[in-house]
Amino acid sequence: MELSEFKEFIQIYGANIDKWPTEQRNAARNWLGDIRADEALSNEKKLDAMLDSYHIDTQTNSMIHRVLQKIGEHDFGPTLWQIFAKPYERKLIPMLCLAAIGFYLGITQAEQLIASNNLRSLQQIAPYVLGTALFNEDGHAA
Amino acid sequence: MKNLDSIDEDELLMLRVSMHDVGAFEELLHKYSDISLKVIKRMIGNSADAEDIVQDFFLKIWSNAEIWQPQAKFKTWLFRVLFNAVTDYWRKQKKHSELDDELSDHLPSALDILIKTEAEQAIKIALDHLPYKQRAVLVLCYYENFSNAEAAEILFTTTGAVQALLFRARNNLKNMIASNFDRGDRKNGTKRI
Repeated sequence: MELSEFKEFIQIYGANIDKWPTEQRNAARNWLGDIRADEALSNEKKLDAMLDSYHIDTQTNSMIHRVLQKIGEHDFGPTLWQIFAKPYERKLIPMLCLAAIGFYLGITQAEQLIASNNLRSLQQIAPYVLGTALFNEDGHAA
Repeated sequence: MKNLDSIDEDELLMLRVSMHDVGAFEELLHKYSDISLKVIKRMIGNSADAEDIVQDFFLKIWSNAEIWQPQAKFKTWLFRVLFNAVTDYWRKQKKHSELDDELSDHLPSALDILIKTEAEQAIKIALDHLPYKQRAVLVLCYYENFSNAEAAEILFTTTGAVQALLFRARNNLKNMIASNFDRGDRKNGTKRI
């Protein structure tokens, strides 16, 4: 490591070499004791001292208690659905249910249609339904 | 998706949380609430809001645990979500400038420094005026000893960018502190030693 690199790294990581990335740490130690390197370190030590003076008090016990209380209050717990169904099943099952409801309604509506048009069976309306789906009014392919 | 051999202790804990194991969640809270609160307090500098953010962050982790997949390293994923909470907070506070990569226009005044002459207060004020990403890399790498690679993953950037941001952050801090002490000294008619 060149002195210029050493000085550059001081300006990035600070004067405490123990806080440097491991790859650079050993090479940096070779510079300790060098007057030019020590001068560069002392400049950066002032900023480190200020940064280190910024202490944060964290009393998290009451917050932890509040969080646990909140998850107890609300029904955040798992349902059988969440336990047994895999993520893709949670999307697939509602879609299948909707398809089943649609099929059921379709069948019952078809019965009503048959009744209202005096058509006696699905066999009688099937060609008509297929015909309108595949061909337009002029008899051309849709 | 990772295989079971590569899943670490935290990921196993989170897997239990994803199955809504309250004991595992409590363990996770005890392990990460302290560091999360420290990071948030250093990022936003407001202790009352910081607790609310961390509280909501953990509630969100709990309620969305089931969709968690062990894809990224757990710690980096956790802090990525935490930093998202910080950006959301600033958006709500409409402090758009905080998210830019420019120094805040409102630099600490000499009076601020004169009133709060303690080094801790001076650095706190200076940190508050650093742009979001510069402050974030300093909090992660300097205070919480995250590696450049981890910080890069959390902040969606590169390791080279993390180095550049660290350099700019320290440089800006030195300039801010120096210029304000100079202004303060001039105002008082004193000379810096």
